[in-house]
Amino acid sequence: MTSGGERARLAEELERRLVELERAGDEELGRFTRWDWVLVVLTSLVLPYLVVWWFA
Amino acid sequence: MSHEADADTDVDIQRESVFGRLPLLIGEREYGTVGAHGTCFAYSVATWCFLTGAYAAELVGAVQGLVCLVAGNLIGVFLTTMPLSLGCQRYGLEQIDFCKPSFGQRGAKLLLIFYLVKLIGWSGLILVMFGNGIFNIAVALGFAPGRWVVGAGVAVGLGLAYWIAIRGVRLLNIFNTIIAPGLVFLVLFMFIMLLRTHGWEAIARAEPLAPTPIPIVNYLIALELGIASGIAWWGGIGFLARNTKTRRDAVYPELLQLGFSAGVVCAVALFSALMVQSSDPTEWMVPIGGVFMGVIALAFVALANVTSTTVSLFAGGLALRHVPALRGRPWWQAVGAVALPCVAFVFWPIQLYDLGDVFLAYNGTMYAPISGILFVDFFFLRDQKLHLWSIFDDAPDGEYQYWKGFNWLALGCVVLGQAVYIILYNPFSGETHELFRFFPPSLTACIVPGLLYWAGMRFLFPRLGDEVFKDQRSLSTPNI
Repeated sequence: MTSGGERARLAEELERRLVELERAGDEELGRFTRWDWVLVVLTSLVLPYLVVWWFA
Repeated sequence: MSHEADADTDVDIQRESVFGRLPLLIGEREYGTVGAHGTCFAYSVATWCFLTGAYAAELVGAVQGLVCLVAGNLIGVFLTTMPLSLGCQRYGLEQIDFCKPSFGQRGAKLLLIFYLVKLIGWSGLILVMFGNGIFNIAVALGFAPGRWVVGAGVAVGLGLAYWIAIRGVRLLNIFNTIIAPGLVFLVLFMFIMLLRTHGWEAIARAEPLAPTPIPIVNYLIALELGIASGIAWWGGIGFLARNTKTRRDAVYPELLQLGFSAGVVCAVALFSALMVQSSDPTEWMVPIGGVFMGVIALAFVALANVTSTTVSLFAGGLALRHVPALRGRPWWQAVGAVALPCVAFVFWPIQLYDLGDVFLAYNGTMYAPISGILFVDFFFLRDQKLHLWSIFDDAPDGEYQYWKGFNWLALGCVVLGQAVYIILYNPFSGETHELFRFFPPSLTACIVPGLLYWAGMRFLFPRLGDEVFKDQRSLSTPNI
């Protein structure tokens, strides 16, 4: 992937991908909702700290 | 001929997207829910978990250690994974590219230094474990080898890892399909043998190996080891997340496997270290499993150490593709540039191995501020919206050029975060500040730079997050 022609083709491919990825929405990429946030903050931050504090 | 040339270029593009910097399209991504959990689990059961557990055993007993390692890992992974997972998954970006909106086109490449230091440090420690394994196999078989065997083992392990890494990812994947399930079996075997031989009560009563005189400080340093161990996944998260199909597949497997499962594996290592009263994982196998099973387990751990080192060399080689001077160089040279500094571990294996806990804590100083800045930048300043075109364009008027490619505010906040960490807890000297009891260093070194970065960016770029990006269809100076 070092010659000029190959690099140009790579850049062209990159531009095609950027257009496609910019268009992608929740349908294709899946959702991460408020409830997901509540769950991960509680189980990965709040609960571990409470357990650490309890055993201190 | 033209068809063949097109086919070759298609293969190159596919390789460039999976192992290079082209953003991954959704159809190209490998991991659904099961695949993401499986891969993260395989990553989480690695030999460096043995070292983390062993270092924690020097400070705390089984119950406190279990809490610190599992909770700490979860907290560390949470801090580092949320912006990287959701950002790299949304845009299919490689990790360093994701850092460009906050650190600048060229500033993000400075993070490579931290990344490479981490890869080289872990590789060296694991190679010494490989050397120690060979030494202890010889001892178990009745020989009386000199300590030089450890250094020679490091040289052999490094040579093997380099040989596998330059042969590409396929051979590495073959090794990993054997090693990952084998390590799961080994950890289960160790845990069952510990419970059968000693029982939980004895494990829970076992004294730590070399605690400081203040119990709460021991506890908090062990928590710090857990958090630092979780944050140290920073290097692998983008690679995993960009390969996932949905946002939930990017986040939950990393939290559950790299956070929770890795913490549990570290805890089994901690129990072993406490019962054998040694912080060297290669000294656990024979006392726990007997000579026959112990030697087999040791040989297996040695092999696992080689594959772990190979993964690091491979990841380091890929990361160096960001450096223009190495972008077009042959693969063996890129991998060689990562392997070369590890040679120091051949000559000073024991001295460098003894600094392992310091190095683990130092991971916290390196990645905690970066994680805080990325968190604030992606969620609070940009509302999860990046201008993809500017990431791949070196045009001087690009969105992420800042000051000649560097966002000095972000880089300054990283330095400040490291200073905050070292003031609270200096991993080199072991000194702690009075405030250490109230402010965990990793968390503080994550939050303080994050807040300052937020305030600074709001002051310098008040319209950040509200701007409407122009519709772009081409790159003026593509940096791929």
